[in-house]
Amino acid sequence: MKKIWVIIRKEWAEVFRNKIVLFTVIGVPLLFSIIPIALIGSLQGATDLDGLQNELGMGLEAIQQLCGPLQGVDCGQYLLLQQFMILFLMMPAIIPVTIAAYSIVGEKNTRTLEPLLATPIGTEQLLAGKALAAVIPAVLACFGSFFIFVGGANLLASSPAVAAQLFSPLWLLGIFLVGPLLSLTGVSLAVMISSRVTEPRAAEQLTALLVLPVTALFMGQLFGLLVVDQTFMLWIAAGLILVDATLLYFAVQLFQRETILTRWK
Amino acid sequence: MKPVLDTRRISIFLAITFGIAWLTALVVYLTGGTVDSPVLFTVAGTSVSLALVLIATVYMWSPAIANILTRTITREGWKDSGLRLPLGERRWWTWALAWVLPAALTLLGALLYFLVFPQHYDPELLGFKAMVDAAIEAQGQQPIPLDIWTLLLVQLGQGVLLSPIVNSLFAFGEEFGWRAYLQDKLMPLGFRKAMLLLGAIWGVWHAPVIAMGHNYGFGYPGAPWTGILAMTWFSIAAGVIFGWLTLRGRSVWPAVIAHGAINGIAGINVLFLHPEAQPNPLLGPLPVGIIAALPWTLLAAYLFWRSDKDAADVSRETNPPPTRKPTRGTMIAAENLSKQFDTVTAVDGLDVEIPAGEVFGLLGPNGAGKTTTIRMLSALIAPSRGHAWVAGHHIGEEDALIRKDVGILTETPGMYEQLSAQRNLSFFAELYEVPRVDKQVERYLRMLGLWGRRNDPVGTFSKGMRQKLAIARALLHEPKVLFLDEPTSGLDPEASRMVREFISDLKAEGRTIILSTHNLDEADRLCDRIAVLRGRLLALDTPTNLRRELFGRSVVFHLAKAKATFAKALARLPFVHEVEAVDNKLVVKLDDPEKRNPQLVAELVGLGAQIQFVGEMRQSLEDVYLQLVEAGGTA
Repeated sequence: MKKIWVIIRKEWAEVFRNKIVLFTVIGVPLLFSIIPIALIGSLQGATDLDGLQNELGMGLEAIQQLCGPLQGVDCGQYLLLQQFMILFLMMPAIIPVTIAAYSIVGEKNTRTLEPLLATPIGTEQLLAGKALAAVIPAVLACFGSFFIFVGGANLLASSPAVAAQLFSPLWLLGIFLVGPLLSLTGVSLAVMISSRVTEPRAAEQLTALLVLPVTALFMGQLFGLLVVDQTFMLWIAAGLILVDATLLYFAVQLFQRETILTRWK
Repeated sequence: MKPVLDTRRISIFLAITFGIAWLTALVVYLTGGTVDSPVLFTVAGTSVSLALVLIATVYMWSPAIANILTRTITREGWKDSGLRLPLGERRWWTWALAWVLPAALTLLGALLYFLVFPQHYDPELLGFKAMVDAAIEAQGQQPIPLDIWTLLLVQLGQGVLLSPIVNSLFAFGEEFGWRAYLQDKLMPLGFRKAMLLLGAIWGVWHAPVIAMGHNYGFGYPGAPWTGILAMTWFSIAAGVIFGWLTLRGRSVWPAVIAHGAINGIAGINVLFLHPEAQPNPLLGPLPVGIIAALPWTLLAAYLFWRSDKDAADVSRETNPPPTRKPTRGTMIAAENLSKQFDTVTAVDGLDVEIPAGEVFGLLGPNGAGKTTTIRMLSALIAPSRGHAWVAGHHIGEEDALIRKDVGILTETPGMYEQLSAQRNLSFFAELYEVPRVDKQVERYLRMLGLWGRRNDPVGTFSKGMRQKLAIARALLHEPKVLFLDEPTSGLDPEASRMVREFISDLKAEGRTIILSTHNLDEADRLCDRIAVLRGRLLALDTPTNLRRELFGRSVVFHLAKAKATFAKALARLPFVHEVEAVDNKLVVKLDDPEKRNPQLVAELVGLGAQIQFVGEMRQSLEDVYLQLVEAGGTA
């Protein structure tokens, strides 16, 4: 565990000097939390529940299930905010990819991997350190932006009950369970791809494809094709646990010291 | 350390195998599947359809084609083709097992199936009788004057004795791909994982033909998915047995025989089936049914359980145990140490013993195996063959301990450029679990004159400073052995001298240092002994002895004026090998100058020569090196 922490500290010391990484970790979450708040602010009191109902193609029963105790304008505002949950799921998937991609391919470019592998550190320790160094800031940024988002909603929404509803099990599952799991998926993919490519950008771009299924969810919800509710979140979490376990296994298997040392030029 | 999984070649092989097979299946499907496939011709009353031809040839041969294409595309060569016939190696029992085991397991499976479903068993063999009668009628021949049980015994005997050979042609197409190629490539995962993965891949590869009714037909519950699963199950069990035969037989041929045998005998169980029985093909009686496959599964489980012992036996045979242990006081010992990269032998049979406190030089042209040797000895890459011990730890068994005890200066001094010198060193010190990190980092930064720049990012350092920092990194944990891979490469003369002086200081401290360099003067000055490599060890000795062995010893006489008679007179002396006159100098080659020089001086003085200086002629290490490498290259 101590060596994993050593790796994490080194990674942070190094990657946070990179402006692109810094912007991704701080700027993106800020942007994602400000946009919905600004939208609520600009639509203050003008959220039409019937209009939203038509636009989202949702039945009244489904809406009431999502809104819980909220009624009228409150429910309309909550439904609008709810559409932004996908952004909070995208965030932990996007942010660590940039960090992880730089962290493995960066070693390759600076030729530091050979001295690093010559130390008595296990492959699992090395990859765990690198993965956690990417996951922790992403998850913390996601949590941070969620609290900014809730604070903003509390100030600008039609009633404090709207912000309180953001602490419903659906949101809590999304932010505190699915988000970190998605983050791990992104990192595992980035580690796997980084072990095979020679450019951080290539690793980043390939791993960015992970955003596609999340975007598909977003679009599906937007066009009323699916309702992201509590049960749906739990299914996604269960699926992600399986996917993450598989990806982590393959990430360790694909990180072959000898191949990396002898074929990386 | 585990050998490397060659994922690139595995991916290419699988893409070709599945590409060819599944495309063939698509063609079969589009032309009527296995049921309505157009008949191409008829042999002895049996129709041969397009589906049968395509599946028996292209589909079943796709793994063999993939083997050939992958080796060709990736220029792998045929060194480990798996085709060798291990005759004379007393492996006849693997061949015998391959020949009879499938029949025994299949009949045992039939016995089990009919014990579970006794109502499906036909003691009068009515189904078989009807089949024989139909065949006789179709060919317009007379009935055979044998009872049905005798006929069954003939059929069985033929199935057991001849079918392994007859069916080998088709079985070879699969085995030459799966066992001879993919199994070998998956073995770095270990026998167990390799067998499970290979069996699963093999099973899934059958999916399209199973979906088109092969082995299980169509009407079974959950078709075709349950059929694909059952086939995968059988493939894993049979794959373990075929894989074990390949491993123990050191050749793919036993697996080919066994695969041919199962193909030939598989149908025998159906002959016992009552004509009115409606068996579930997922359960039997064909050996691909779960119940009938039970003997296969149990044997596979047993082989799986004992695979560690088999793998160890094979490993011992391919890499025999060391003949001796390193002697006391030896810091590094290598015995037959070798490394193969694909078709290239980077290091071939290196034998060396390096005592503690020695500075040992590795010389050789680019690609001679110096860096590979250092990487093997520092437990960064695994040897393909042979054994080595570093600081008392066996390579391949105690790699983590070796990494703790060695320091390595890599060919390029990779540093985290955005981090300070101090942060770079403290990071590595923490990974090496150095007790007092800050003190140790400060000690080496001061020792190498970098303390003043400790907070500057390494990206701002000169090449020499980076090299010094990399040396400090290699020394932070006070290793017992220090590997220096071209420490002065690319440095200016001043920085080179500084690094050399530092190495001299380390030598004075009694550290064991392995120095790989192209700088012959550096090796001459620093090394106690030198090994000249060119894939294999060309020479190993002290620099002085290397000179003597190659060039002998020579004495140079500087004369006030040389005359031809001087050289002739000296050449006549019995202990002189050769005399060469160059300007006013005489170069005399002889064995024992300490003893003979007074005689030579007396002879020359007697001839009236005026001797100005006398000294031993010293060949440069460059001459020695070039001679050795040229001779090694032409050997």
